[in-house]
Amino acid sequence: MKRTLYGWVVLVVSCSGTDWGPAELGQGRTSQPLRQMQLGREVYATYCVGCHGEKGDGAGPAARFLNPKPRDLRLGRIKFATVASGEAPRDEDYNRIISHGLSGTAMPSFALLGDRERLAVISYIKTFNPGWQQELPGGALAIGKDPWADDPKGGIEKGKKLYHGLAKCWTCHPAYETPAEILRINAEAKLPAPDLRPNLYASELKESDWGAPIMPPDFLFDRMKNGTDEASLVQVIAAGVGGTAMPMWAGALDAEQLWGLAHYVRSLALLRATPEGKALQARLFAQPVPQGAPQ
Amino acid sequence: MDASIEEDASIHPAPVKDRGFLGCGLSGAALLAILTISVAIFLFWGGPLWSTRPGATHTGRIVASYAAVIPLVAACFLMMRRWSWVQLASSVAVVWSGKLIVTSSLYAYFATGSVQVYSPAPVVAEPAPATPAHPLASTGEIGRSEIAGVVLDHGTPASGVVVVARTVARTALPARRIDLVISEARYDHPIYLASVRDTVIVRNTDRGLHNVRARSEHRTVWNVPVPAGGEAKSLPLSVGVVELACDEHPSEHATLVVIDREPAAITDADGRFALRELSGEACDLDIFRNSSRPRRVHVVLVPDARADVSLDLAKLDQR
Repeated sequence: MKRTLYGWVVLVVSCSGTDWGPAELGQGRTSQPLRQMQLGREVYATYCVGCHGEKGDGAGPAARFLNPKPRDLRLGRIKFATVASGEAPRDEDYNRIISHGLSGTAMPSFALLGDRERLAVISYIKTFNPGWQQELPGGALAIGKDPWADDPKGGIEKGKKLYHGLAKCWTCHPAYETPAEILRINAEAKLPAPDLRPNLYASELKESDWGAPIMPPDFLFDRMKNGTDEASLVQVIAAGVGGTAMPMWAGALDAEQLWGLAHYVRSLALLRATPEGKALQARLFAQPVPQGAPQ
Repeated sequence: MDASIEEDASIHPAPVKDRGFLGCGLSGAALLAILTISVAIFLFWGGPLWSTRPGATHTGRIVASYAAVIPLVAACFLMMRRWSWVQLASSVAVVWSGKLIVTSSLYAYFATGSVQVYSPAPVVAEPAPATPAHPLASTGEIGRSEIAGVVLDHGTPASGVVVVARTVARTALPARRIDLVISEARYDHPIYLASVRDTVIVRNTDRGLHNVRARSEHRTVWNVPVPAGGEAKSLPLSVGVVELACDEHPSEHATLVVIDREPAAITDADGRFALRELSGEACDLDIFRNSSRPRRVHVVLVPDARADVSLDLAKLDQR
């Protein structure tokens, strides 16, 4: 009898809150999402509003001092996601960035937040996008396992050929081989001789949706925002970088090629700020770049 | 012996045994009393803190409560007939430190109606609204009027121009495959027309790599590479105008007009087009050529009959 009474008391007390009552239930609401939103709003107000702003427009008080600028969350898109180019990111994508941060930017790791807080703030920041209720997140791209896990050197070699050959990554990023070697790689792959740009060993500024042109990273100099491990790199290569010139390579390249590129880029990123990396750069800059080669 | 001791004492006075709380010269009780007075000033200066109106400023109470500490500490030292600037500063600092902790807590607790608290609009979990039906679709007003016309540019027929009537047709176009061909770093047409049910395939007939960066309303909606001799299939389309471009080849750009059930047509080699199943007394025509920004004309329809129009782009631009 006492237990039943306690049960009724608990039920009445739990129903008496302003956020969950008959009116809310009548409108098809439940307490769980609303409470999660309220928690998300609190977390956002505590940790995020300073950079991302009250309206999620990326114009918080600190934004003027930051480069790159904080993300405009109203667009409902982020740069690093596991979905196809143009699709809405998944909660896992937001969670990964919140948990790990973005290297080389002002976005820190919020590993201090518990799972509940992270999921709540993800739910909340999605509401800044006016179309958040209509836009379903995209499906995660299936990249497959790393076929070069047992032969990383083979992956690096494959990636080097793709980087300077079929994928022509050096049209935006710097090249890391001599002009003669690039021409040889293309000839070997039976590709037409490429027209090498004059500043072959520097990145090329590209348009972006984020309010300013973006300089693609130089792997010997810049930090990899999404991480330097192969799994993070292959994800960026496969899905592209949202709102930038970096396209979605999944579909155009198979798993062996994608992972090969990831291994090669990682091998370059590991040379960052090392004597070997500086020596490589010095050797490349000493190379004359022939102009006017046929396309 | 005693004289020498007295002499030494006069030269080196005995140190003061009571150096006060943390060596600041005042006892803990005196400091606490000053702190209490300071906090009281903070709470009641200009009216009780908890009854201030929303948006009120608290500068007066903050300044007064901090400033009051200085004369109070000075008065204590004067009453003790001891004076040291260093100890005065130390005592004031000790009281201010304690006060900062106490009053900041009280401020957050009592002044919630007046401080600038970040407060975004409350979140209301509303059910997703249903997709609004076209107003004409529910009224059954889809008519049998037609527009037949010709698009000219400085008097000469303009082919490959997309004309879209801003109304709704009874029958939706069947799903088709739309091929966009890239050749010599150019699209085969400057503008394409597709419906949301269509599949768009971009084919690269060049020996070099291209990419298709599709942007709609200044946002990238699709960005894929198209290797030499390869092709790429677009994501599901949504209504709007999509600009296609290659990041490497500035000459390579085109416009894709995506419709749902609007009557639309592309002009033929003679610049002619025909739009059917039009309703109402008039409708707007959007004319796209080489640009995502259409020229719009208002056309009066002939009920259940064909209206013939001649549209000169040069004249439309002059309007």
